[in-house]
Amino acid sequence: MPKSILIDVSKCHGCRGCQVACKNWNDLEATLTQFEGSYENPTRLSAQTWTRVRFIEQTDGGLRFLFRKDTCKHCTDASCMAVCPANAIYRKDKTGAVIINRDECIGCKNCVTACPYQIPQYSKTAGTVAKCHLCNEGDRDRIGNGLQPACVSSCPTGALIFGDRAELLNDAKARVNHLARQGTEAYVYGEKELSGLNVFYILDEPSETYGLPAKPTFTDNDVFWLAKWANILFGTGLLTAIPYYLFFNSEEEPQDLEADDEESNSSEKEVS
Amino acid sequence: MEWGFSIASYMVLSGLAAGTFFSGTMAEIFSKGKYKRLQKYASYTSLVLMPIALLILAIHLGQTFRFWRVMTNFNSTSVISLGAWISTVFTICVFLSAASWYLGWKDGLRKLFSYIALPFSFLVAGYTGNLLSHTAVPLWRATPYLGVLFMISSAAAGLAVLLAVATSAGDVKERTLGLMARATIATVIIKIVVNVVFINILALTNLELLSSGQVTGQVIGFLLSIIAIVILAPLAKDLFHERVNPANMPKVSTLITLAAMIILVEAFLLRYEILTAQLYWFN
Repeated sequence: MPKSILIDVSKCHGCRGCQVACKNWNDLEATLTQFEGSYENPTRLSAQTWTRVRFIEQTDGGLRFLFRKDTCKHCTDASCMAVCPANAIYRKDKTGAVIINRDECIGCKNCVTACPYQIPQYSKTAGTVAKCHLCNEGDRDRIGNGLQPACVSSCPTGALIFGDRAELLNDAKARVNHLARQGTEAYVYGEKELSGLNVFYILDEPSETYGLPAKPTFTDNDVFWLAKWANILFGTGLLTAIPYYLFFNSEEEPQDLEADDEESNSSEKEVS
Repeated sequence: MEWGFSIASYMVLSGLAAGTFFSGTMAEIFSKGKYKRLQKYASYTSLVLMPIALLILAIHLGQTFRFWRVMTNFNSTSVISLGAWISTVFTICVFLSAASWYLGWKDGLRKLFSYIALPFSFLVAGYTGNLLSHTAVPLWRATPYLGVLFMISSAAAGLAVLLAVATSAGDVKERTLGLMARATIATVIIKIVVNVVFINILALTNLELLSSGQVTGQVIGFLLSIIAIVILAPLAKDLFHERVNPANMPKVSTLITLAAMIILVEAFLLRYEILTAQLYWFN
Protein backbone atom coordinates (compact mmCIF):
# COMPACT_ATOMS: atom_id res chain seq x y z
CA MET A 1 0.00 0.00 0.00
CA PRO A 2 1.59 3.32 -1.08
CA LYS A 3 2.20 5.85 1.65
CA SER A 4 1.29 9.45 1.10
CA ILE A 5 1.39 12.92 2.53
CA LEU A 6 -1.78 14.97 2.25
CA ILE A 7 -1.11 18.71 2.28
CA ASP A 8 -4.15 20.76 3.21
CA VAL A 9 -3.36 24.34 2.24
CA SER A 10 -6.43 25.59 4.08
CA LYS A 11 -4.75 24.63 7.36
CA CYS A 12 -1.22 25.84 6.59
CA HIS A 13 -0.24 29.15 8.16
CA GLY A 14 3.28 29.30 6.76
CA CYS A 15 5.31 28.66 9.91
CA ARG A 16 7.96 26.81 7.88
CA GLY A 17 8.46 24.26 10.62
CA CYS A 18 8.50 21.58 7.92
CA GLN A 19 11.42 23.32 6.21
CA VAL A 20 13.44 23.30 9.40
CA ALA A 21 12.51 19.72 10.32
CA CYS A 22 13.60 18.49 6.89
CA LYS A 23 16.92 20.29 7.16
CA ASN A 24 17.51 18.94 10.65
CA TRP A 25 16.60 15.34 9.99
CA ASN A 26 18.49 15.08 6.72
CA ASP A 27 21.46 17.04 8.00
CA LEU A 28 21.22 19.53 5.16
CA GLU A 29 23.51 22.53 5.39
CA ALA A 30 22.08 25.93 6.14
CA THR A 31 22.37 28.27 3.19
CA LEU A 32 22.50 32.03 3.09
CA THR A 33 19.22 33.32 1.70
CA GLN A 34 17.51 36.65 1.28
CA PHE A 35 14.02 37.96 0.83
CA GLU A 36 13.08 38.75 -2.74
CA GLY A 37 10.07 40.99 -2.47
CA SER A 38 7.94 38.79 -0.24
CA TYR A 39 8.13 36.90 3.02
CA GLU A 40 8.93 33.71 1.11
CA ASN A 41 12.33 32.43 2.14
CA PRO A 42 14.10 30.60 0.63
CA THR A 43 12.68 31.53 -2.75
CA ARG A 44 13.70 28.31 -4.45
CA LEU A 45 14.52 24.70 -3.72
CA SER A 46 18.15 23.60 -3.82
CA ALA A 47 20.24 20.52 -3.25
CA GLN A 48 20.31 21.62 0.41
CA THR A 49 16.63 22.58 0.62
CA TRP A 50 14.27 19.76 -0.26
CA THR A 51 11.10 21.40 0.90
CA ARG A 52 9.93 24.96 1.37
CA VAL A 53 6.72 26.86 1.89
CA ARG A 54 5.70 28.99 -1.03
CA PHE A 55 4.08 32.31 -0.16
CA ILE A 56 1.56 33.62 -2.65
CA GLU A 57 0.26 37.11 -2.01
CA GLN A 58 -3.19 37.98 -3.31
CA THR A 59 -3.87 41.69 -3.28
CA ASP A 60 -7.32 41.81 -4.90
CA GLY A 61 -9.72 43.15 -2.26
CA GLY A 62 -7.16 43.31 0.52
CA LEU A 63 -4.03 41.30 1.25
CA ARG A 64 -4.37 37.54 1.53
CA PHE A 65 -1.54 35.04 1.91
CA LEU A 66 -1.74 31.60 0.36
CA PHE A 67 0.74 28.99 1.53
CA ARG A 68 1.80 25.76 -0.13
CA LYS A 69 4.48 23.35 0.98
CA ASP A 70 6.52 22.50 -2.10
CA THR A 71 8.35 19.20 -2.28
CA CYS A 72 8.72 16.07 -4.38
CA LYS A 73 5.32 14.59 -5.25
CA HIS A 74 6.65 11.01 -5.60
CA CYS A 75 4.56 10.66 -8.76
CA THR A 76 3.28 7.30 -9.92
CA ASP A 77 4.39 8.33 -13.42
CA ALA A 78 7.74 9.72 -12.32
CA SER A 79 9.46 11.48 -15.22
CA CYS A 80 12.73 11.74 -13.31
CA MET A 81 12.86 7.96 -13.05
CA ALA A 82 11.84 7.49 -16.68
CA VAL A 83 14.65 9.63 -18.09
CA CYS A 84 17.56 8.63 -15.83
CA PRO A 85 20.20 7.03 -18.07
CA ALA A 86 22.06 5.49 -15.13
CA ASN A 87 18.95 3.97 -13.54
CA ALA A 88 19.95 5.85 -10.40
CA ILE A 89 16.36 6.74 -9.52
CA TYR A 90 14.15 4.01 -8.16
CA ARG A 91 10.83 3.50 -6.41
CA LYS A 92 10.37 1.78 -3.08
CA ASP A 93 7.73 -0.85 -3.67
CA LYS A 94 6.31 -0.72 -0.16
CA THR A 95 5.81 3.03 0.11
CA GLY A 96 5.91 4.35 -3.47
CA ALA A 97 8.69 6.79 -2.54
CA VAL A 98 10.81 7.85 -5.54
CA ILE A 99 14.43 7.98 -4.45
CA ILE A 100 17.68 9.16 -6.04
CA ASN A 101 20.64 6.90 -5.31
CA ARG A 102 23.32 9.59 -5.17
CA ASP A 103 26.07 6.97 -5.31
CA GLU A 104 24.81 6.00 -8.76
CA CYS A 105 23.83 9.47 -10.05
CA ILE A 106 26.13 10.68 -12.85
CA GLY A 107 25.01 14.30 -12.66
CA CYS A 108 23.61 14.58 -16.21
CA LYS A 109 20.71 16.74 -14.95
CA ASN A 110 18.19 15.11 -17.28
CA CYS A 111 15.80 14.61 -14.34
CA VAL A 112 16.04 18.34 -13.59
CA THR A 113 14.67 19.10 -17.06
CA ALA A 114 12.09 16.29 -17.02
CA CYS A 115 10.24 16.99 -13.77
CA PRO A 116 7.10 19.08 -14.40
CA TYR A 117 7.31 20.34 -10.81
CA GLN A 118 10.99 21.38 -11.05
CA ILE A 119 11.87 19.40 -7.95
CA PRO A 120 15.24 17.62 -8.48
CA GLN A 121 18.07 20.02 -7.72
CA TYR A 122 21.65 19.75 -8.91
CA SER A 123 24.47 20.24 -6.43
CA LYS A 124 27.66 21.64 -7.93
CA THR A 125 29.59 20.59 -4.84
CA ALA A 126 28.44 16.97 -4.88
CA GLY A 127 28.11 16.72 -8.66
CA THR A 128 24.82 14.90 -8.20
CA VAL A 129 21.11 15.65 -7.99
CA ALA A 130 19.16 15.64 -4.72
CA LYS A 131 15.54 15.75 -3.63
CA CYS A 132 13.13 14.61 -0.91
CA HIS A 133 13.11 10.84 -0.31
CA LEU A 134 9.97 10.86 1.85
CA CYS A 135 12.20 10.07 4.86
CA ASN A 136 12.43 6.55 3.49
CA GLU A 137 16.09 6.03 2.63
CA GLY A 138 19.10 4.47 4.33
CA ASP A 139 19.98 5.70 7.80
CA ARG A 140 17.45 8.54 7.42
CA ASP A 141 14.58 6.08 7.04
CA ARG A 142 11.80 7.16 9.37
CA ILE A 143 8.92 5.39 7.63
CA GLY A 144 10.72 2.06 7.75
CA ASN A 145 11.10 2.57 11.49
CA GLY A 146 7.44 3.30 12.08
CA LEU A 147 7.76 7.08 12.19
CA GLN A 148 6.20 9.81 10.15
CA PRO A 149 8.31 11.90 7.74
CA ALA A 150 10.09 14.69 9.61
CA CYS A 151 8.08 17.45 7.95
CA VAL A 152 4.76 15.86 8.96
CA SER A 153 5.82 15.32 12.56
CA SER A 154 6.70 19.00 12.90
CA CYS A 155 3.46 20.43 11.50
CA PRO A 156 1.58 22.22 14.32
CA THR A 157 -1.74 22.73 12.50
CA GLY A 158 -2.40 19.33 10.96
CA ALA A 159 -1.91 20.71 7.47
CA LEU A 160 0.33 17.72 6.75
CA ILE A 161 -1.07 14.24 7.28
CA PHE A 162 0.80 11.00 6.61
CA GLY A 163 -0.76 7.60 5.96
CA ASP A 164 -1.99 5.07 3.44
CA ARG A 165 -2.85 6.76 0.19
CA ALA A 166 -6.33 5.31 -0.19
CA GLU A 167 -7.32 6.36 3.32
CA LEU A 168 -5.86 9.82 2.88
CA LEU A 169 -7.80 10.27 -0.35
CA ASN A 170 -11.02 9.52 1.49
CA ASP A 171 -10.02 11.96 4.25
CA ALA A 172 -9.21 14.57 1.63
CA LYS A 173 -12.60 14.24 -0.05
CA ALA A 174 -14.34 14.50 3.31
CA ARG A 175 -12.36 17.64 4.05
CA VAL A 176 -13.29 19.09 0.65
CA ASN A 177 -16.96 18.49 1.47
CA HIS A 178 -16.49 20.06 4.89
CA LEU A 179 -14.92 23.15 3.33
CA ALA A 180 -17.75 23.32 0.80
CA ARG A 181 -20.26 23.44 3.64
CA GLN A 182 -18.28 26.36 5.04
CA GLY A 183 -18.48 28.13 1.70
CA THR A 184 -14.97 27.41 0.45
CA GLU A 185 -14.67 25.77 -2.92
CA ALA A 186 -11.82 23.28 -2.65
CA TYR A 187 -10.66 20.20 -4.51
CA VAL A 188 -8.05 17.46 -4.43
CA TYR A 189 -5.00 17.98 -6.62
CA GLY A 190 -2.94 14.87 -7.28
CA GLU A 191 -5.54 12.14 -7.23
CA LYS A 192 -5.26 11.49 -10.94
CA GLU A 193 -2.44 13.74 -12.08
CA LEU A 194 0.48 11.66 -13.38
CA SER A 195 -1.51 8.54 -12.47
CA GLY A 196 -1.61 9.72 -8.89
CA LEU A 197 0.76 11.75 -6.74
CA ASN A 198 1.92 10.31 -3.44
CA VAL A 199 2.18 13.82 -2.07
CA PHE A 200 -1.10 15.46 -2.93
CA TYR A 201 -3.02 18.59 -2.01
CA ILE A 202 -6.30 20.06 -0.98
CA LEU A 203 -6.34 23.38 -2.86
CA ASP A 204 -8.79 26.24 -2.59
CA GLU A 205 -7.65 28.19 -5.65
CA PRO A 206 -6.76 27.14 -9.23
CA SER A 207 -3.60 25.03 -9.21
CA GLU A 208 -1.71 27.63 -11.27
CA THR A 209 -2.30 30.18 -8.51
CA TYR A 210 -0.39 27.86 -6.20
CA GLY A 211 2.37 27.34 -8.79
CA LEU A 212 1.25 23.86 -9.80
CA PRO A 213 0.64 22.98 -13.46
CA ALA A 214 -2.98 22.11 -14.26
CA LYS A 215 -1.85 19.37 -16.60
CA PRO A 216 1.58 18.14 -15.55
CA THR A 217 3.40 16.28 -18.31
CA PHE A 218 5.00 12.87 -18.14
CA THR A 219 7.96 12.26 -20.43
CA ASP A 220 7.01 8.71 -21.25
CA ASN A 221 7.81 6.20 -23.91
CA ASP A 222 4.54 6.39 -25.83
CA VAL A 223 3.57 6.17 -29.49
CA PHE A 224 4.01 9.91 -29.91
CA TRP A 225 7.51 9.62 -28.53
CA LEU A 226 8.40 6.78 -30.88
CA ALA A 227 6.99 8.83 -33.74
CA LYS A 228 9.49 11.54 -32.93
CA TRP A 229 12.30 9.11 -33.51
CA ALA A 230 10.70 7.88 -36.72
CA ASN A 231 10.46 11.50 -37.87
CA ILE A 232 14.14 11.92 -37.38
CA LEU A 233 15.22 8.73 -39.08
CA PHE A 234 12.93 8.73 -42.10
CA GLY A 235 11.57 12.23 -42.63
CA THR A 236 14.75 14.13 -42.12
CA GLY A 237 16.93 11.46 -43.62
CA LEU A 238 14.89 11.84 -46.77
CA LEU A 239 15.21 15.63 -46.66
CA THR A 240 18.96 15.56 -46.22
CA ALA A 241 19.35 13.01 -49.01
CA ILE A 242 17.72 15.27 -51.60
CA PRO A 243 20.77 17.47 -52.31
CA TYR A 244 23.02 14.43 -52.58
CA TYR A 245 20.63 12.75 -54.94
CA LEU A 246 20.28 15.88 -57.05
CA PHE A 247 23.95 16.70 -57.35
CA PHE A 248 25.83 13.44 -56.97
CA ASN A 249 23.51 11.08 -58.81
CA SER A 250 24.59 12.28 -62.26
CA GLU A 251 24.44 9.69 -65.01
CA GLU A 252 26.80 11.85 -67.01
CA GLU A 253 30.39 10.73 -66.62
CA PRO A 254 32.28 13.75 -65.38
CA GLN A 255 35.32 14.64 -67.43
CA ASP A 256 37.47 15.98 -64.68
CA LEU A 257 37.28 13.19 -62.17
CA GLU A 258 40.29 11.30 -63.38
CA ALA A 259 42.19 11.76 -60.17
CA ASP A 260 39.28 10.52 -58.07
CA ASP A 261 38.76 7.56 -60.32
CA GLU A 262 42.44 6.80 -60.45
CA GLU A 263 42.61 6.76 -56.71
CA SER A 264 39.55 4.54 -56.50
CA ASN A 265 41.04 2.15 -58.98
CA SER A 266 44.43 2.11 -57.35
CA SER A 267 42.99 1.48 -53.91
CA GLU A 268 40.90 -1.34 -55.25
CA LYS A 269 44.02 -2.77 -56.90
CA GLU A 270 45.91 -2.50 -53.65
CA VAL A 271 43.21 -4.42 -51.90
CA SER A 272 43.08 -7.10 -54.53
CA MET B 1 20.41 24.77 -14.56
CA GLU B 2 23.62 24.19 -16.42
CA TRP B 3 22.69 23.03 -19.87
CA GLY B 4 24.41 25.90 -21.61
CA PHE B 5 27.71 26.44 -23.40
CA SER B 6 29.25 22.99 -22.88
CA ILE B 7 26.09 21.08 -23.81
CA ALA B 8 25.62 23.31 -26.87
CA SER B 9 29.25 22.53 -27.80
CA TYR B 10 28.62 18.80 -27.36
CA MET B 11 25.47 19.00 -29.44
CA VAL B 12 27.11 20.90 -32.27
CA LEU B 13 30.25 18.72 -32.34
CA SER B 14 28.41 15.41 -32.25
CA GLY B 15 25.99 16.75 -34.86
CA LEU B 16 28.93 17.87 -36.94
CA ALA B 17 30.64 14.48 -36.69
CA ALA B 18 27.42 12.78 -37.75
CA GLY B 19 26.63 15.34 -40.46
CA THR B 20 30.11 15.10 -41.94
CA PHE B 21 29.93 11.33 -41.94
CA PHE B 22 26.59 11.00 -43.65
CA SER B 23 27.54 13.73 -46.12
CA GLY B 24 30.58 11.79 -47.28
CA THR B 25 28.80 8.45 -47.21
CA MET B 26 25.73 9.67 -49.09
CA ALA B 27 27.96 11.38 -51.68
CA GLU B 28 29.60 8.00 -52.24
CA ILE B 29 26.30 6.12 -52.36
CA PHE B 30 24.49 8.48 -54.74
CA SER B 31 27.48 8.81 -57.04
CA LYS B 32 27.81 5.01 -57.09
CA GLY B 33 31.33 5.23 -55.75
CA LYS B 34 32.66 8.06 -57.91
CA TYR B 35 33.16 10.35 -54.95
CA LYS B 36 34.17 7.79 -52.40
CA ARG B 37 37.23 9.82 -51.48
CA LEU B 38 34.81 12.13 -49.68
CA GLN B 39 33.81 9.18 -47.54
CA LYS B 40 37.43 8.82 -46.50
CA TYR B 41 37.66 12.46 -45.42
CA ALA B 42 34.29 12.14 -43.72
CA SER B 43 35.44 9.10 -41.73
CA TYR B 44 38.66 10.77 -40.62
CA THR B 45 36.91 14.03 -39.68
CA SER B 46 34.17 12.24 -37.71
CA LEU B 47 36.76 10.13 -35.96
CA VAL B 48 38.39 13.32 -34.65
CA LEU B 49 35.18 15.18 -33.78
CA MET B 50 33.14 12.47 -32.08
CA PRO B 51 35.61 11.65 -29.27
CA ILE B 52 36.03 15.39 -28.58
CA ALA B 53 32.23 15.75 -28.34
CA LEU B 54 31.97 12.77 -25.97
CA LEU B 55 34.84 14.10 -23.88
CA ILE B 56 33.07 17.47 -23.48
CA LEU B 57 29.91 15.62 -22.45
CA ALA B 58 31.78 13.51 -19.90
CA ILE B 59 33.49 16.58 -18.43
CA HIS B 60 30.12 18.33 -18.20
CA LEU B 61 28.68 15.55 -16.05
CA GLY B 62 28.70 16.24 -12.35
CA GLN B 63 30.40 12.88 -11.89
CA THR B 64 32.72 12.56 -14.88
CA PHE B 65 34.21 9.27 -13.74
CA ARG B 66 30.80 7.68 -13.49
CA PHE B 67 30.38 8.14 -17.23
CA TRP B 68 30.75 4.40 -17.72
CA ARG B 69 27.57 3.77 -15.75
CA VAL B 70 25.59 4.92 -18.77
CA MET B 71 27.14 2.04 -20.67
CA THR B 72 26.39 -0.52 -18.00
CA ASN B 73 22.73 0.50 -17.78
CA PHE B 74 20.00 0.64 -20.38
CA ASN B 75 16.79 2.60 -19.95
CA SER B 76 14.52 2.48 -22.98
CA THR B 77 12.55 5.53 -21.81
CA SER B 78 15.66 7.67 -21.43
CA VAL B 79 16.77 9.59 -24.52
CA ILE B 80 20.23 10.04 -23.02
CA SER B 81 20.53 6.29 -22.51
CA LEU B 82 19.44 5.59 -26.08
CA GLY B 83 21.66 8.40 -27.35
CA ALA B 84 24.67 7.01 -25.49
CA TRP B 85 24.23 3.60 -27.08
CA ILE B 86 23.59 5.09 -30.52
CA SER B 87 26.68 7.29 -30.20
CA THR B 88 28.76 4.31 -29.13
CA VAL B 89 27.73 2.17 -32.11
CA PHE B 90 28.28 5.14 -34.42
CA THR B 91 31.73 5.90 -33.00
CA ILE B 92 32.84 2.27 -33.27
CA CYS B 93 31.65 2.03 -36.88
CA VAL B 94 33.33 5.35 -37.75
CA PHE B 95 36.54 4.06 -36.19
CA LEU B 96 36.33 0.86 -38.24
CA SER B 97 35.53 2.81 -41.41
CA ALA B 98 38.51 5.12 -40.86
CA ALA B 99 40.72 2.14 -40.00
CA SER B 100 39.63 0.46 -43.23
CA TRP B 101 40.80 3.46 -45.20
CA TYR B 102 44.03 3.85 -43.27
CA LEU B 103 45.01 0.20 -43.23
CA GLY B 104 43.70 -0.56 -46.72
CA TRP B 105 41.23 -3.20 -45.64
CA LYS B 106 38.89 -4.68 -48.25
CA ASP B 107 36.58 -2.06 -49.72
CA GLY B 108 33.56 -4.27 -49.08
CA LEU B 109 34.41 -4.35 -45.40
CA ARG B 110 34.82 -0.58 -45.31
CA LYS B 111 31.45 -0.17 -47.04
CA LEU B 112 29.84 -2.52 -44.54
CA PHE B 113 31.04 -0.43 -41.59
CA SER B 114 30.05 2.81 -43.31
CA TYR B 115 26.60 1.64 -44.25
CA ILE B 116 25.93 0.33 -40.75
CA ALA B 117 27.03 3.70 -39.36
CA LEU B 118 24.81 5.68 -41.76
CA PRO B 119 21.42 5.28 -39.99
CA PHE B 120 23.16 5.76 -36.66
CA SER B 121 24.66 9.01 -37.94
CA PHE B 122 21.12 10.28 -38.66
CA LEU B 123 20.14 9.49 -35.09
CA VAL B 124 23.28 11.03 -33.58
CA ALA B 125 22.63 14.20 -35.59
CA GLY B 126 19.04 14.45 -34.41
CA TYR B 127 18.73 12.82 -31.00
CA THR B 128 19.96 15.85 -29.07
CA GLY B 129 16.99 17.82 -30.36
CA ASN B 130 14.74 14.93 -29.44
CA LEU B 131 16.30 14.94 -25.97
CA LEU B 132 15.12 18.52 -25.48
CA SER B 133 11.63 17.72 -26.80
CA HIS B 134 11.52 14.91 -24.26
CA THR B 135 11.51 17.16 -21.18
CA ALA B 136 9.00 19.18 -19.19
CA VAL B 137 10.47 22.51 -20.32
CA PRO B 138 7.61 24.27 -22.16
CA LEU B 139 9.52 25.66 -25.15
CA TRP B 140 11.51 22.49 -25.75
CA ARG B 141 8.45 20.33 -25.35
CA ALA B 142 6.24 22.53 -27.53
CA THR B 143 7.27 20.74 -30.70
CA PRO B 144 8.54 17.23 -31.44
CA TYR B 145 10.49 18.61 -34.39
CA LEU B 146 13.57 19.92 -32.59
CA GLY B 147 15.32 16.71 -33.63
CA VAL B 148 14.49 17.41 -37.26
CA LEU B 149 15.77 20.97 -36.94
CA PHE B 150 19.02 19.83 -35.34
CA MET B 151 19.50 17.12 -37.92
CA ILE B 152 19.14 19.49 -40.86
CA SER B 153 21.46 21.91 -39.14
CA SER B 154 23.98 19.10 -38.66
CA ALA B 155 23.67 18.15 -42.33
CA ALA B 156 24.44 21.71 -43.45
CA ALA B 157 27.34 22.13 -41.03
CA GLY B 158 28.72 18.67 -41.78
CA LEU B 159 28.65 19.22 -45.51
CA ALA B 160 30.28 22.64 -45.15
CA VAL B 161 33.06 21.23 -42.98
CA LEU B 162 33.58 18.32 -45.35
CA LEU B 163 33.84 20.81 -48.20
CA ALA B 164 36.45 22.78 -46.26
CA VAL B 165 38.40 19.61 -45.40
CA ALA B 166 38.29 18.38 -49.00
CA THR B 167 39.44 21.77 -50.27
CA SER B 168 42.32 22.01 -47.85
CA ALA B 169 43.35 18.42 -48.64
CA GLY B 170 44.04 19.72 -52.13
CA ASP B 171 43.59 16.44 -53.98
CA VAL B 172 39.87 16.61 -54.76
CA LYS B 173 38.95 17.78 -58.23
CA GLU B 174 37.40 21.18 -58.75
CA ARG B 175 34.21 19.67 -60.14
CA THR B 176 33.76 17.67 -56.94
CA LEU B 177 34.17 20.82 -54.89
CA GLY B 178 31.62 22.56 -57.09
CA LEU B 179 29.11 19.78 -56.56
CA MET B 180 29.70 19.92 -52.82
CA ALA B 181 29.28 23.69 -52.78
CA ARG B 182 25.95 23.28 -54.59
CA ALA B 183 24.81 20.54 -52.21
CA THR B 184 25.84 22.72 -49.24
CA ILE B 185 23.80 25.65 -50.54
CA ALA B 186 20.79 23.39 -51.12
CA THR B 187 21.08 21.95 -47.60
CA VAL B 188 21.41 25.40 -46.04
CA ILE B 189 18.28 26.50 -47.93
CA ILE B 190 16.39 23.42 -46.67
CA LYS B 191 17.60 24.28 -43.18
CA ILE B 192 16.33 27.86 -43.49
CA VAL B 193 12.93 26.56 -44.64
CA VAL B 194 12.73 24.04 -41.77
CA ASN B 195 13.78 26.78 -39.34
CA VAL B 196 11.10 29.16 -40.60
CA VAL B 197 8.47 26.40 -40.43
CA PHE B 198 9.63 25.53 -36.90
CA ILE B 199 9.37 29.12 -35.68
CA ASN B 200 6.01 29.58 -37.38
CA ILE B 201 4.62 26.42 -35.78
CA LEU B 202 5.80 27.74 -32.41
CA ALA B 203 4.36 31.18 -33.09
CA LEU B 204 1.00 29.72 -34.12
CA THR B 205 0.68 27.22 -31.29
CA ASN B 206 2.73 28.58 -28.41
CA LEU B 207 3.30 32.26 -29.07
CA GLU B 208 3.81 33.01 -25.39
CA LEU B 209 6.92 30.82 -25.38
CA LEU B 210 8.71 32.84 -28.03
CA SER B 211 10.94 35.44 -26.43
CA SER B 212 12.27 38.47 -28.24
CA GLY B 213 15.79 37.13 -27.63
CA GLN B 214 14.92 33.94 -29.42
CA VAL B 215 13.44 35.75 -32.39
CA THR B 216 16.58 37.90 -32.54
CA GLY B 217 18.69 34.73 -32.45
CA GLN B 218 16.70 33.25 -35.31
CA VAL B 219 17.13 36.42 -37.37
CA ILE B 220 20.90 36.41 -36.75
CA GLY B 221 21.01 32.74 -37.75
CA PHE B 222 19.05 33.48 -40.90
CA LEU B 223 21.42 36.30 -41.84
CA LEU B 224 24.48 34.11 -41.22
CA SER B 225 22.99 31.42 -43.47
CA ILE B 226 22.38 33.96 -46.22
CA ILE B 227 25.98 35.23 -45.94
CA ALA B 228 27.27 31.65 -46.26
CA ILE B 229 25.12 31.12 -49.36
CA VAL B 230 26.33 34.39 -50.90
CA ILE B 231 29.95 33.30 -50.35
CA LEU B 232 29.42 29.83 -51.78
CA ALA B 233 27.13 30.71 -54.70
CA PRO B 234 29.74 32.02 -57.15
CA LEU B 235 32.11 29.24 -56.13
CA ALA B 236 29.50 26.62 -56.87
CA LYS B 237 28.77 28.14 -60.25
CA ASP B 238 32.39 28.76 -61.29
CA LEU B 239 33.82 25.55 -59.99
CA PHE B 240 31.13 23.56 -61.68
CA HIS B 241 31.65 25.02 -65.10
CA GLU B 242 35.31 25.74 -65.35
CA ARG B 243 38.53 24.99 -63.66
CA VAL B 244 39.73 27.47 -61.12
CA ASN B 245 42.95 29.16 -61.91
CA PRO B 246 45.49 27.45 -59.61
CA ALA B 247 46.69 30.88 -58.56
CA ASN B 248 43.22 31.59 -57.17
CA MET B 249 42.96 28.34 -55.23
CA PRO B 250 44.21 29.78 -51.90
CA LYS B 251 41.55 32.47 -52.16
CA VAL B 252 38.88 29.89 -52.97
CA SER B 253 40.04 27.76 -50.09
CA THR B 254 39.86 30.71 -47.70
CA LEU B 255 36.34 31.59 -48.82
CA ILE B 256 35.14 28.01 -48.44
CA THR B 257 36.66 27.83 -44.95
CA LEU B 258 35.00 31.14 -44.08
CA ALA B 259 31.61 29.88 -45.28
CA ALA B 260 32.07 26.65 -43.30
CA MET B 261 32.95 28.65 -40.18
CA ILE B 262 29.85 30.82 -40.58
CA ILE B 263 27.59 27.79 -40.96
CA LEU B 264 29.27 26.23 -37.95
CA VAL B 265 28.76 29.34 -35.82
CA GLU B 266 25.11 29.40 -36.89
CA ALA B 267 24.71 25.75 -35.88
CA PHE B 268 26.15 26.54 -32.46
CA LEU B 269 24.00 29.63 -31.99
CA LEU B 270 20.87 27.69 -32.92
CA ARG B 271 21.49 25.15 -30.18
CA TYR B 272 22.77 27.60 -27.59
CA GLU B 273 19.86 29.94 -28.10
CA ILE B 274 17.29 27.14 -27.74
CA LEU B 275 19.10 25.76 -24.67
CA THR B 276 19.26 29.07 -22.86
CA ALA B 277 15.85 30.41 -23.94
CA GLN B 278 14.11 28.68 -21.05
CA LEU B 279 16.54 29.21 -18.20
CA TYR B 280 13.93 31.27 -16.33
CA TRP B 281 11.70 28.18 -16.14
CA PHE B 282 14.01 26.44 -13.69
CA ASN B 283 13.65 27.32 -10.02
